[in-house]
Amino acid sequence: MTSNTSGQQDKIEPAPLLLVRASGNLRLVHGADDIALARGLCPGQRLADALACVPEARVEDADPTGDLARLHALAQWATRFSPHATPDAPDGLMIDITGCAHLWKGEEKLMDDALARLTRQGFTARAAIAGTIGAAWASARFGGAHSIIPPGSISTALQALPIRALRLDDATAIGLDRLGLRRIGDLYPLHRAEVTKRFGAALLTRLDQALGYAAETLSPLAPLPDHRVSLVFAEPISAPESIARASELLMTRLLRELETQELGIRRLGLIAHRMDDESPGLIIGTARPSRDAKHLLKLLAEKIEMLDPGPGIERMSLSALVAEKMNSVQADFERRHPGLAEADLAPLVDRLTNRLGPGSVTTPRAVASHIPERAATFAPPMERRVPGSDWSTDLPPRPIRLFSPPEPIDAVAPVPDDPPLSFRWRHMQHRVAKAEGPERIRPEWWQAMDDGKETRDYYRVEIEDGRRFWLFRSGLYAQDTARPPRWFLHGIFA
Amino acid sequence: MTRKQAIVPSVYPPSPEPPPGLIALRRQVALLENLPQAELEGGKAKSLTWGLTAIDTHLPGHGLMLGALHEFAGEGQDLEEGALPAAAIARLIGRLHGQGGDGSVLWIGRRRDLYARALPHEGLDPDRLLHLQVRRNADALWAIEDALRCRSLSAVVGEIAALNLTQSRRLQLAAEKSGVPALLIRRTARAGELKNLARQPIAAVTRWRLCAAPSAGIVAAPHPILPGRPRWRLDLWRCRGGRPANWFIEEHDDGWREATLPQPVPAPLGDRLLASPAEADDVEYERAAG
Repeated sequence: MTSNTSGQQDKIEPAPLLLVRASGNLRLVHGADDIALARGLCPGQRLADALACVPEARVEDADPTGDLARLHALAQWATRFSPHATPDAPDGLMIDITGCAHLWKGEEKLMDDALARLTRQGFTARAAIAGTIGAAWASARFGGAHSIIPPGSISTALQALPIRALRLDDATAIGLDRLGLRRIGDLYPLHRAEVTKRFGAALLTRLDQALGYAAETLSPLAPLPDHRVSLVFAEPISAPESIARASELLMTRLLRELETQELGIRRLGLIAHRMDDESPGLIIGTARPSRDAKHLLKLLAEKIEMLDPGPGIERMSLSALVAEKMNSVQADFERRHPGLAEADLAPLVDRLTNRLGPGSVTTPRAVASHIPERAATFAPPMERRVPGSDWSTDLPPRPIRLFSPPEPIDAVAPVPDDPPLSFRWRHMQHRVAKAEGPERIRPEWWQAMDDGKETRDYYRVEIEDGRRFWLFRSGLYAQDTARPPRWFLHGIFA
Repeated sequence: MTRKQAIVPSVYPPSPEPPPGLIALRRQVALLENLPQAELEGGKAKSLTWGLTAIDTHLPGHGLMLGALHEFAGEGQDLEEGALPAAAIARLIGRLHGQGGDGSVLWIGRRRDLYARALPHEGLDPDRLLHLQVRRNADALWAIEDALRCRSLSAVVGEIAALNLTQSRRLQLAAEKSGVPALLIRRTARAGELKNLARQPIAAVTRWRLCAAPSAGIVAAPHPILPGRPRWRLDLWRCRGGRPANWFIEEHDDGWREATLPQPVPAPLGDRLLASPAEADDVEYERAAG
């Protein structure tokens, strides 16, 4: 079953309201309220024409991005009816209510509830329920008010609707109109091959989708969690203690469900459906699969503080967005992670990550590369090490601080490959007292674009006050004098 | 007398077995001052050591006590980068790990420019390092305090710009409670600003200032002079239960050693290691001259 609701912002204002958008040099009417529509204005009209008819109209700029964002939020809200809800730009919502209607004691009651709630939020809405997306779309926009098309009678219900109800593009609709095909029913007796020849496959696809001969699926707003529990409250709650208590209850239920399948939580989402039909949510993540209720609740508690209960929460749902198999932990055979193997480090990593953002906690990883900045990267913690990565090296000393990207400097150096005599870095001139080098580093041949230009000669230099830097010259002194090599400061030695 | 003993310990080595009355007295003093007693009670060394007798014996507890706040800062432009403090801390923790200390190190900073390839050289295994990147100084402070509660860490290192007395006290208390050392690197984008900040009082047990010094240099024709072993001036600026002091150290393959001066010094004025007129009456000359 598919329900389709189309909403439009309702304004009860004495003067007609027009929303305008720019289209090239023209200003066109983007939307009009009921009063304006009643006075004969319509979206798509030129603003000048519209104002000639209704000079007292109030004109405001349309905000398509804002509208879309609001529609998105509305789709989020609509997950209260079914987890399969998705925005249908520019002005519709699609909800797959398969198997959900009984919770409202019937489709009609569900539709009434949805419309009542939308009206309360200030939307004018029309709805329809049908067995296919196409049919629901058509009858919500062009059919009678609040129609429910029973299974098996789609073709009858649609035949009287205008051809545009098939979600066609303008060119096809105009073409059909010219031929006198104005109702969906007019298409039924036509020969399929002829229609395809004339209008392309899209028209018949749309027709088939509406009638249920072709499959069409609805992609939900967010991937559906496999494990979701929710709690509906008799009275809306807003006290932090009540929210904490509710999340505790939900957590117990969710973890019991996961335990039977030996799963642990990696990402956990909590959505609070509020009285005012807002549904703020929060997400926490863990470094390794966890079923530790105390730890997970602690992570949740930090974020719940920021959850605004508004006029009260009437429903809360907790879902395991990502669940992974919890394997019993085996000690690292080589004991190469003596610290990380400790289980009590994971909660700390989780706390830091959840507060300071994903990717903030990392651990160094050795990469087999000659290029210094590639030779060590920071990778997510608690992950298995890439085999073959090794910190042992017989290379000359490396600086403790490495700048990425290297900082360009002005250096004075004898040609072709002597260390610099002096250089200017961060507005300060430094004279080189002692220097060692060059250490030539070339990019790997499969990475290099131009071997000559990307070759680096590194020098370890000590300036007069004893500080040591790692400088390099990018490129070689060659015949090409137009583009002399550039100097960079790459790191600082201790 | 005492000062001289601190600086030239080889002349007055610490007596191996102090009289029992002195041990009791020391323990009492240590209790009052909340200093580590492991050393006195003959337990396993519970401190971060430099591996240099002169420095370690100078410090109360023969090292930088665990479960305490220690501050490290570079000088001049190194306040922006914190290269020397980072290397010193890596080596102190590496020595701790070498003595059987377990657990990872959490390194907190606003920039992720610590080069892991340099850490093995300092004796720290990069696999035992966790790096946390934060956006604000306040986040770093929160993270350090939170991390200090985790006993399975062997140390928490924080690169911090501004720090006031209250904030530092919170860190010190958290470190005391868990026994995890908190090592701070003072670092900011504008060195001029930190120079004043780093002079403010904080509740650290030790406060160190590190400064690079010209190395001896290796003359190898036909090359110009090659850099010799890195030399630092290590300045213990504040020390709870101890005296300020400074050392001139040189890095060797087996660790730090006290550096010998390249040439004999004709007069105190002749070997101005650091051109800082503010510290004209420094102990350095005493040692250099005598």
